[in-house]
Amino acid sequence: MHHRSRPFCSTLLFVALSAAPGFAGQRAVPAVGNRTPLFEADVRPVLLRKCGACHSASGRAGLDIRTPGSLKQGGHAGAAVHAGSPDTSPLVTAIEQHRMPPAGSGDPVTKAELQIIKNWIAAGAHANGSSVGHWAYTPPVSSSPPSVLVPFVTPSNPIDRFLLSELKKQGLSFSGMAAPRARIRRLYIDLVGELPTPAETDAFASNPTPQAWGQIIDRLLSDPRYGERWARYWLDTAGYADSEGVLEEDRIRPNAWRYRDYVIKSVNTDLPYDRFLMEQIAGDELARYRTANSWSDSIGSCLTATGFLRTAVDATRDDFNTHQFVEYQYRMLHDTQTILISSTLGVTLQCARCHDHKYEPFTQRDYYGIQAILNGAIRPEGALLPSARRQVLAASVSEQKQIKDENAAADADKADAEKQLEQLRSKTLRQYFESRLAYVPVAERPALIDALATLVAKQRADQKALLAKWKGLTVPSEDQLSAAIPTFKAATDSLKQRIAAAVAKHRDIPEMRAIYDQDAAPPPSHILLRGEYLKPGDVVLPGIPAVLGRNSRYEPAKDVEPGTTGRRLALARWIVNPTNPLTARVEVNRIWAHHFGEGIVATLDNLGQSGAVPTNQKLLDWLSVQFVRGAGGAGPWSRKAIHRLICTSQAYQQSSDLNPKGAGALRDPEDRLLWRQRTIRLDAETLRDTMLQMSNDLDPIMFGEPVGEDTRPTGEVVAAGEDGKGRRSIYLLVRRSKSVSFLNAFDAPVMETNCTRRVASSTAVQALAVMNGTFTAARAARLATVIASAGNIPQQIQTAFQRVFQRAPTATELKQSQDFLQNQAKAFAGAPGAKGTEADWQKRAFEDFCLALLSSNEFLYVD
Amino acid sequence: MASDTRQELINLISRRELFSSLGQGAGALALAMLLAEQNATAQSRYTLTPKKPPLPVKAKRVIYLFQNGGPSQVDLFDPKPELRNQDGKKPGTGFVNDVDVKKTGTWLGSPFAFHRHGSCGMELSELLPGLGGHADSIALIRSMVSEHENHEQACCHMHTGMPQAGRPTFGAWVTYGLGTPNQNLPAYVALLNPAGMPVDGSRNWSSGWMPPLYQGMPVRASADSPILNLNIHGPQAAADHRLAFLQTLNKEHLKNHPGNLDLEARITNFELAAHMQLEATDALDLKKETAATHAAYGLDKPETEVYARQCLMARRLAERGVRFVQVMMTGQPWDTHSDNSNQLKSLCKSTDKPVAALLADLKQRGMLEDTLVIWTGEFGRTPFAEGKDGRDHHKRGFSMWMAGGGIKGGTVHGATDEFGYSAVQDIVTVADLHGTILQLLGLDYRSLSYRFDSRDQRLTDVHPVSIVKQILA
Repeated sequence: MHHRSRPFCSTLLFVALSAAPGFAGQRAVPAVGNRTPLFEADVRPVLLRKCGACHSASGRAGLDIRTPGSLKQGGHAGAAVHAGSPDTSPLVTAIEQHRMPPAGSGDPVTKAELQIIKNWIAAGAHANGSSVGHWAYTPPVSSSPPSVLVPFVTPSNPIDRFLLSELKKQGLSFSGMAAPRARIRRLYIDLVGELPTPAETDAFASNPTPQAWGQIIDRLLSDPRYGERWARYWLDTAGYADSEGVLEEDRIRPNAWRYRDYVIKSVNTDLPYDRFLMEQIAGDELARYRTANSWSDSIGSCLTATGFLRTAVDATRDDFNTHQFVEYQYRMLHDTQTILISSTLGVTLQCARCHDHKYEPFTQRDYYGIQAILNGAIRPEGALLPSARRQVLAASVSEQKQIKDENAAADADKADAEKQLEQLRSKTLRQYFESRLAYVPVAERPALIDALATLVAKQRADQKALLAKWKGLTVPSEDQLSAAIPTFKAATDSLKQRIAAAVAKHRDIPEMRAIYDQDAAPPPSHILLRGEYLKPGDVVLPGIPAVLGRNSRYEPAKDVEPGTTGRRLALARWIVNPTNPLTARVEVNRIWAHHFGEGIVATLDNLGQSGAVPTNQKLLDWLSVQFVRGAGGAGPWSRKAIHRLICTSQAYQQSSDLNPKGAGALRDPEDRLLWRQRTIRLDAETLRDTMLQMSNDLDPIMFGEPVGEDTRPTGEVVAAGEDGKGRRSIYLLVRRSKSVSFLNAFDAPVMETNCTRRVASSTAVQALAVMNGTFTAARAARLATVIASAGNIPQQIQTAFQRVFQRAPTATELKQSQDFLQNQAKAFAGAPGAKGTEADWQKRAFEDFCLALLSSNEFLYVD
Repeated sequence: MASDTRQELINLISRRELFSSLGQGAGALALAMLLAEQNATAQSRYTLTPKKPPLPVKAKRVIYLFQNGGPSQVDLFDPKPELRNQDGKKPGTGFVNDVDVKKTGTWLGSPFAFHRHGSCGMELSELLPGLGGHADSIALIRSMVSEHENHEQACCHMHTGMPQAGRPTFGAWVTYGLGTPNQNLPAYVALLNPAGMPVDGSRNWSSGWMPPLYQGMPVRASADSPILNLNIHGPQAAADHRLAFLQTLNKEHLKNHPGNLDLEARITNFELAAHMQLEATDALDLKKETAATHAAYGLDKPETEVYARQCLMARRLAERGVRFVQVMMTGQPWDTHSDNSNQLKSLCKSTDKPVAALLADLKQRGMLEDTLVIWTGEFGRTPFAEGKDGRDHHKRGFSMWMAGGGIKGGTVHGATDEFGYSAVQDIVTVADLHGTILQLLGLDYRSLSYRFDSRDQRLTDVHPVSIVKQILA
């Protein structure tokens, strides 16, 4: 039997990859001297000249110096190069100690050459050294916005100046300002995920000044719905779900929703993004919760935030075999790491799990350096039992003790009161029975007492009959007892009150799904050869990718409480350090993408060399620097400030109209330079939410346990009660194996790892869902009721258009609508077997009219 | 079978008819829509328009009969006289139950007789007389291996190429790679037993990280409401009006958005949906089949009725151009942990006849030439007993068969050891199987890729693949 389970990497795969868009772009190569040496250009020639005679194809001592891979693999004596660590690399020590090249066999390596080799190793010993100089791996530099003179445009917003400067090179400019109605609709959908009311639309349309625009932006940014809207994007990249995602059972994850609420709150309060990330990556270490004397909301918030590192699919189960358990834990760890790095740094470090990255300067050592940071908390082979659910109690240790003591006292009081109540009841029963025994014939009395004293299971038929006969006597109601024995009621009431008070006193401490280190000294972490956990390689220290750490050193944080490693806190600090080249760019790019439909770098999760080329790198860098410093008078890392900058730009407010024969369509058909706004389809959640809003069914209540789902006999998964109790979609249960069919049809992601980018497909299934689905039918019926009070038919049509489209119908549309209502009522009346009144047909015609509006492109798309 | 081009032409014509029924002005609208559709499909990244595959096409469509639970190879496909000889004896070292070593029972010989069938002389169990009649049409692989001994992971592995959930099924890959000739029907159908979902539900036909466009559309093999949201509410005339009014609104809107392909595509999709209502309803209406056909499949007998319905619907859908039909059973019926023999008797009684009838029907209609029929479970079962009379999950060696387009009928490929425990000769992995299936459809497992997670993903990912050439015609 031949063994073939080991995966390999096909060359074909990578041939295909190298053709990826953007691969050839933006490759700045500075002069040698102040840049990192490149293997092909700088290192390989030296090694070939000085060492190649013996250590190439012939491979003396098993060593082949021709590729970075073979150098790291080394020869019989082990690895020749340790990436990132020149001083411990045998290649370097052999040269420094003049052991190699051996005396008499050619020229020695010069000092300058050795320095090149050492620098190359220090930078990570990459094959593709060229990407080290990739723009995204060096910190952004803010250039001043270019001054541009374009007819009819007065670019006061720097964003516009950056964009216009590029557009001008193509002989292009912005499109005209979009109509007020289109703008306010766009803004509402973008910022709060709902539509403006007719009154809000009218107010702006009658006064569409920049001041009014700015005020609406400010109002919407402080609207709680803003947090619900923008938290969704972060929850996508964080891979948020309410279920474990494993097997048929796909069990519900208790308390995951607290993290969802944390994100919504943080977005709403504009928690500075650096703090937002730090809390999510190392909230436990930041809050020092273990040694805190008293619990505070801030501690709770910090711990809840670490739910970010607990979103991955988790196979932790008691009934898994131990060997499988380890395998699944490694998968969970890998996914967690992927989520952490792709969402914050926007690079594809996950590709370096089994081998050095083929296109980015990331080594396997870099990958396992990050893994070692997480190993403080997640240890696939550690001592945690599968059943450990890893929840943290929201109270300090001393508070927990106090609450425990108080609960014990309350519980004891309750037990005592219950006992007394029980005694009182039996005593009263006896009194009652004895007082009523007189009614029983003397002859039957001994038998009755006997029957009462017999266990129910052992009662004979005649005993049962006797008890039934005297039921009123043996099983009196509370009322009968109270009537017979006057003190009974007062006594029981007082005891019942005591029990209720004791129950109320018992405090449950909320649990949080959090991450925390298991202890301060984890066992050594290893590089896993080919990513296989059964093949541990070198020990690896916690660390950050060498190429990104050129300006900083990684060391676990020392200012942490005992019992934790400080590894994640140090990582978090490094990620949010203003010199980190990626963090700000990634977030700014993400915000941009959700306002314009595309990022400045289209690949939101990959700003690396293999990602897309930025359409305007200077703009991205300027925005990133503004973000870190604080834009427009806001504090550092304010996301609301970036929204404000973007939404006040002309680029954002311009029309999305497309003239297929215009200059823009010809010169920049993909609109990469933004000569027009883009038409965007509502995402699944926004579509559902706005439909609920239109039918007056949207419940504005925020936060809390998720609303569950139901599976119908047809296999359709619906939010509980069909409309999910009118809650916004962000509060619906995210069960990985059972996504709500309506949301799924409109491309809501099934959360397998995380979702860094959604698609907006257009399918017949969507058409069926809106035309024939019960959710939309219910919305249409309710909307028809809402507009029914508007007056006569034309007024109702007017109202419906205003409400759904934020505009009045044209004369043609009004006529078409009226004709439709008339014909449709006739169609219902004339259908075979139709039963009902004229009013019924009218009503159903109006429902169909509303369904058509809610199914229309104008409703589904934002201009 | 009519050529795909002809089928498309028929679709176009019938859609024109539909449009003309929409009332005044709809004819011009229809034409505009058709043109719009061509534009949209030419430029949009994700579509279901038929694509020309890179390799020679042996099969144009797939009927995938998935046998959830893990059918027992030694009772159905892989005769082991030595197992019978050793019945009741303790297996030697090296023969363990992967699910739980402690549950390794004694050898359990099959109580069923095996007979030779067809001119090829393929040995099959007495439980499969119907399939026996098609021995010369099928290629039987007796050396399948899986990577996992749990249902969910093994099912995932068989459907998606990886035991971990989250990737697209191979039905989704085929749909992505080939599109579909008939836009009025879903490209990829998951044909379900109306009694209930299979274990792991919709993951069995998920498009994973691909757009939902490529996921299987669940169709319940029942007379009423087989497709979600397919039934219109209210009278047909009202539904037609409603659609016409909606399209009027959309047309007005489009006037102000010239050249917007997304909007045009969505207008078209409403027409497609309306058409799907007619065509799918027709396709799934088994009353249109003769009594003789009903009897041949076993629709008239309670024990075969459900699977017969699924098989006959599968044929009708395949006939109308559905690219991939995946027939699923409720729960995991082949999971015979106890009373293995009796359970197999009843399972074969309910499925063997419909499957045989499907093969005969396809053959008779000339469809078997270019339809690939796949019959497999996620793994097999232990040759030793679990408890008294059951068999446990088994990944080290099991059997499956394929028939139709590009398959060399009458082939037996690979072998297990004398007990039917380990595949020992010509081992076929799931990746080998997937690579081979793609090749039969004209797709190359090496080049069919979808970009996700910054990587060009493939069905077989980085697993080595050997095309199973021995079973190819």
